[in-house]
Amino acid sequence: MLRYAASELVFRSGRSLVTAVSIALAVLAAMVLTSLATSYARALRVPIETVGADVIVQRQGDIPPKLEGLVFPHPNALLPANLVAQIKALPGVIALTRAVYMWDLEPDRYESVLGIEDNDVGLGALGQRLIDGKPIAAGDRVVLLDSDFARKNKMKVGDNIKVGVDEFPVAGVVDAARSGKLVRADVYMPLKLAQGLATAAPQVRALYPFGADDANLVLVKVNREHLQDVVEKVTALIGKKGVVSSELSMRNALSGVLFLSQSMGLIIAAIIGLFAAAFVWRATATAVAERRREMAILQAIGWSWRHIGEQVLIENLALAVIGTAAGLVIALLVVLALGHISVTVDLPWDLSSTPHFIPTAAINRTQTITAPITISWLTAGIATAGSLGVSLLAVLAVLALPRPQPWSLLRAE
Amino acid sequence: MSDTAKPAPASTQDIIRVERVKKHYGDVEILKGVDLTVDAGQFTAIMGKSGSGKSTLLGIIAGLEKPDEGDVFVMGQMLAGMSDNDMATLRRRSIGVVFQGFSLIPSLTALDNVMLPTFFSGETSAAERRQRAVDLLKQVELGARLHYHPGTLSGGEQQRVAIARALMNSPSIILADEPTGNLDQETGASVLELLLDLGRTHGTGLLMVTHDPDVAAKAGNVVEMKDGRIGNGHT
Repeated sequence: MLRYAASELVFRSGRSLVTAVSIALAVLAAMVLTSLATSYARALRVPIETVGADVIVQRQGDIPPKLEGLVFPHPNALLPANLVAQIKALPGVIALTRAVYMWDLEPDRYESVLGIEDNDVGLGALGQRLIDGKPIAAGDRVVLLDSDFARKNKMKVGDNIKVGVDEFPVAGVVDAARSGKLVRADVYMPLKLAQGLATAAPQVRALYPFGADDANLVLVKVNREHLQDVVEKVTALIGKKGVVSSELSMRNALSGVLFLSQSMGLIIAAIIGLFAAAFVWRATATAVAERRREMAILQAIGWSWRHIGEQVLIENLALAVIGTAAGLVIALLVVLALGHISVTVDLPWDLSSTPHFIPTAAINRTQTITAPITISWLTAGIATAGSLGVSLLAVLAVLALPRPQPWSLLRAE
Repeated sequence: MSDTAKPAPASTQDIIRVERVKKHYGDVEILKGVDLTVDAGQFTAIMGKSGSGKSTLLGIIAGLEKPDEGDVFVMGQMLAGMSDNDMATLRRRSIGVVFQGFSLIPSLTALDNVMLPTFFSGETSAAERRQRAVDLLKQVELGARLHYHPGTLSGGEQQRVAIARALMNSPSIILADEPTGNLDQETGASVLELLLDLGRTHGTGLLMVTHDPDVAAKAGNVVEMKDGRIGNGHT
């Protein structure tokens, strides 16, 4: 029967080719679209994940009476300790890191300052990115500098830097660019130190009753299954002025980019798959109709209808296997050729680390995110099963139609 | 065979027994109560004008057409009530068929066409089946055309491939429906001689529908059909 199937497929090479190609295209589309969509979704998570969090919580505040000394940026208003505790207690929250983010505005310069907890997202992460000096810990009265800032201001380990009205020794220099730009700062210090500076800062006190345990930036790591739920609950907790950044909000920020979610990729692939399935069914029905006399001959020489069905099934499955294999191989080549997906994100002001009134601020407002494109073997499995299933169903559907009367096709009279 | 197949009540020498068979196509009654017996190894010719019902009768005997009334027994097996699988097995083991149209599978070579009836035969090895097909094609003088496709063979050559295929399973009888009808006189005569020779050589009975009195003259038994009934035959 295999020999017969091979002969038949070669004999009707045009139809065989078109059928196999349509299956291959459907498999290719499913593979590439889902790979792109998965990669795109992964790219969206990159800015948030590089700071070790799934959700960044901020709150819109007011403009201080004077833009001088230590001020809270507009999107970094007070997040009281009790509110932070409520967020930490939400179901799905795995870990929470508090931070205080400030601008130090002087007549001749400005710098962004981040005080952050001593954990693997905060000072621990900075310690791993040291390029000079030594790491800092929670009780220290020293700071780390971003390498770009240090180079621009010709500062090095051992120098002192003025933050607000106090001076602090520089303990180390970090390559913060590798950690993403969302919470990038020029000066890093332990949280307690930053809380103390904020409590004493006149322009902060003018707006907020900032306490020694409060924060104005919170990084939350959540169970991804609960991401949507946590985002909704945090948004409800912090009210209308809350700014809750996650991959969900990043997706909204990318309104200018083709929206290609994982589900959208699957829907497009499914539509192409349906067209391919319809084509396979039609090709099978046409082939069977064209071979009615051939089937009558087979019946006359002792083939049962079951044998004939098996023969048509083998032919269809062979085309499905060939088409699927071709689709998978081409998809692999396409994915290899594409390598990675690049998405340029236009960061909103509330996620930018630079004061928007600084002339060079626009430089930091966009970020190109890249993520590798990888083959989804689950999709490959689904596409393979789908193409084989479609071929099987096409044969069953066609053979379920009324059978031809063999003698009427063979008789002489 | 299924257990439902009923044995023929008549002599086991009867390869085919047809009893009171009737067949309608719409309002037209094609067969009006036909009785016929074909003995083993016998060449029986069925003659008659177009529309007399002779091809319909052959189709009913082959189990490819169902009678409205009456019974047909082939090799002692009653066809009525047989499953599709049992009918296919009976045809595969006991009946060879040759049609007026050449009825070969166009995608297969002459050799593969001859081997087609044995695709599901587990009784002999693939090598043995292939050797038998080669031998049969040599007997029909197509030993040099084993791997030719039907489209590259002449009408007479195609009909000889069909005859080899009909003999492949060593059937008890060959049912032939105007096998020379599409051939010129000379080719038709040689194909007929071949069919008769091989039938004698292999001990195979032959039931042939024909218009041609010269062909019928070679038959041991001639049955004449007229208006859906068996007329006077001669032996």
